[in-house]
Amino acid sequence: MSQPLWALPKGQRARVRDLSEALPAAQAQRLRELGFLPGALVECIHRPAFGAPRVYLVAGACFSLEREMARRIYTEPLEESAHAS
Amino acid sequence: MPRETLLVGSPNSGKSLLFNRLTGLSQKVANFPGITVRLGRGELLGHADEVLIDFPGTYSLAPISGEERIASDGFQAALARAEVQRVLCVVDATRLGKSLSLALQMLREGARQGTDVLVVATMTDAFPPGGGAFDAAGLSEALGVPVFPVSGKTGAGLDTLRGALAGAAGAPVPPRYAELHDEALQAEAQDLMARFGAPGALLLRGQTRLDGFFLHSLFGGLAFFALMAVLFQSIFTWAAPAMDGIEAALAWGADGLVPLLPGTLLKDFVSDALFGGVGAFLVFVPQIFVLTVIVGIMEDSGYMARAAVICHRPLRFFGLTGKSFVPMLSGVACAIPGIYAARVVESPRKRWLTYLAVPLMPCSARLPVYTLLIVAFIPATPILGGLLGLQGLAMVGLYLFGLLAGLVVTSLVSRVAPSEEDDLPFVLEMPPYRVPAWGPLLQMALRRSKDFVTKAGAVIFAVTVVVWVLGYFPNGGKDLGASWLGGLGRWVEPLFAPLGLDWRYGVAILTSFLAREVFVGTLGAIFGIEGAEENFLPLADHIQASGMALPSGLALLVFFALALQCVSTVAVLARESGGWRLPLSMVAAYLVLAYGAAWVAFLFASALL
Ligand SMILES: Nc1nc2c(ncn2[C@@H]2O[C@H](COP(=O)(O)OP(=O)(O)OP(=O)(O)O)[C@@H](O)[C@H]2O)c(=O)[nH]1
Ligand SMILES: [Mg+2]
Repeated sequence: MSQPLWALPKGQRARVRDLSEALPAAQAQRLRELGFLPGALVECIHRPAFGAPRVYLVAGACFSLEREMARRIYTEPLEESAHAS
Repeated sequence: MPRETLLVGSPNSGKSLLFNRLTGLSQKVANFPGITVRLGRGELLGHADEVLIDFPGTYSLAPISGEERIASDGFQAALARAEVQRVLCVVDATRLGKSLSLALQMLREGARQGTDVLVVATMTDAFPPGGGAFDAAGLSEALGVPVFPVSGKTGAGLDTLRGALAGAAGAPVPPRYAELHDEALQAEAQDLMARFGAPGALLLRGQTRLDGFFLHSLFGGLAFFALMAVLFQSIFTWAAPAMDGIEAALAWGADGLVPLLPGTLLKDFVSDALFGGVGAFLVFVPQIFVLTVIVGIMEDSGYMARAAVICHRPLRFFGLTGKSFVPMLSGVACAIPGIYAARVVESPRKRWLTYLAVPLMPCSARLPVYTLLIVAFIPATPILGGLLGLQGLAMVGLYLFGLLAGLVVTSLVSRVAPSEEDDLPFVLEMPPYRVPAWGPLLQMALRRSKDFVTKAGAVIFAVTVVVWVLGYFPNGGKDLGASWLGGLGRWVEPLFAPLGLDWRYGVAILTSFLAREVFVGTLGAIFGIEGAEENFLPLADHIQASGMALPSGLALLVFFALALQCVSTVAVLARESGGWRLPLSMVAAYLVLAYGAAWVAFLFASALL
């Protein structure tokens, strides 16, 4: 089961699964360099209203991503939380 | 031949502060990713044969846009030069994740080209108490190259680094990096990050709380508007005492000095051209100082990046992006740094749309003209119980007018000229909140003001002298209308008659196409010749006495708000956009727009008043 990063609720963590095929190669490469690598932990820190860019914590740094970017990063829920629920 | 060392690293990792510490120079330092846009070059303090080069920050050597390609090509070209024997790779010790990927790419490049690479870990002072220390020795062991832990803020570790830079070139990069392919490189970066990275949660807790406020849908928006209001109000209120002081000093100087001078010609020249022309413009320097300080506080505290996030959606509606906010706000101080700052906008299309907006931002060169006309036409009535004056309100109105004009232009152009090329979505690193570094901030504001005085001052002085000579001769200042300048003026007068402006203003407008502030200097010199009295009078009083009516004043304000009258902006635009087409079409289009809007404003105001 995978869901786009954009759908991640505030304060929750997930693991990056992969990046969308629709993403141009250079942009995908850049995202990986920023830390959005398959297997990396991401946390949604802020979700401002009105569709404003959201803030994600990855690899110890914060980035704000707008919808067009964040919906092309696929994540899967953490195993721990899957067990807990 | 001096040895050169390249300073590279991810954006906002502290390269420029380190560069300043090592060279004693003052590159601009601010807490926003992508501040340095041009190479800085300087000698290591006390070692003239060691040259350091400060590079713009980059996340990667693999470019995602045309502009980044230029930057990374520039780096490769620099690396290939014989003088360049070392790369100083700067990583942010508190956020290794974003720096390590680039550091490994640098090591790979170094191994391939036979260039030494040293790693410098900055921000070591920013580890929270109990957050553990940065393990430089461990990282150095793992990387196989020296790692220097330093703090650009406290200066810790800098002596060791300086010693190493002045000494031998250092050890070469282990050859294994030459063969490292991209995937292995990223895996290694992640592994190093896990072993040596700071405990992220510790560093981020305070930041998250502040973000909860500044990015809040309601409070964040309110805070944004409150900050903007403070910004514009302060230009008027905080700078006012200093402006009054300069005005008083000028009057005192003119009244004291001029009578002591020998000969009428010299007397007239000094009082009209120097005190009247150049002096009229000096009065506005405090406003530029205040403006630079406040924009600097917003940048260095880390707030600017949050403002970009808040503005992203609204600006997107107008065809721009949240990142356009930074060049636009810089443009409020001066269009030139604003144009340079547009490099933070990676998308080429959004960048040229940003170029369209920046020259319409109410820059500080318009400030003298605005202030002069507001003081001449608008009474200083206090409103809202003295919180704001009517004059301050008029200024806010003019600022909003410029901003709105910029947004209307970009939204029209972006809709008329749609594009198919795929756009780069908004991704922006959120720098940590910091207490601004006051020293560098004030220094920068002082330097900006000084630049303004020396650069604009030189132009104003030259133009003022020419205007004065043309206005003073051939009849010795007795009859301005019959002077050479008067003849010239009558020739251009029909151009400005539809706006209700007489030839004196026409001449001042023509000269203001060099730089807007020149308008004030020219008028100062003209009224200086005309004014028979010996006492120094503020220029606004001359304007009131000149018989210009309010509708013409409004037309003049509208004209200055819209026209692109700045030779330096045009030159910088040509360089940054890679050709003269964009700037020259902008000059022409904005001239038509400005004249048309001024004429409409004049007709409306004449009908209503
Ligand atoms: N506490 C602390 N702050 C630092 C240190 N080094 C830099 N800073 C701050 O970090 C911010 C960024 O510094 P810059 O020197 O402009 O960073 P840069 O790497 O040149 O950034 P770009 O030019 O945008 O790539 C500024 O607010 C500095 O004051 C450090 O060692 N400790
Ligand atoms: Mg820099």
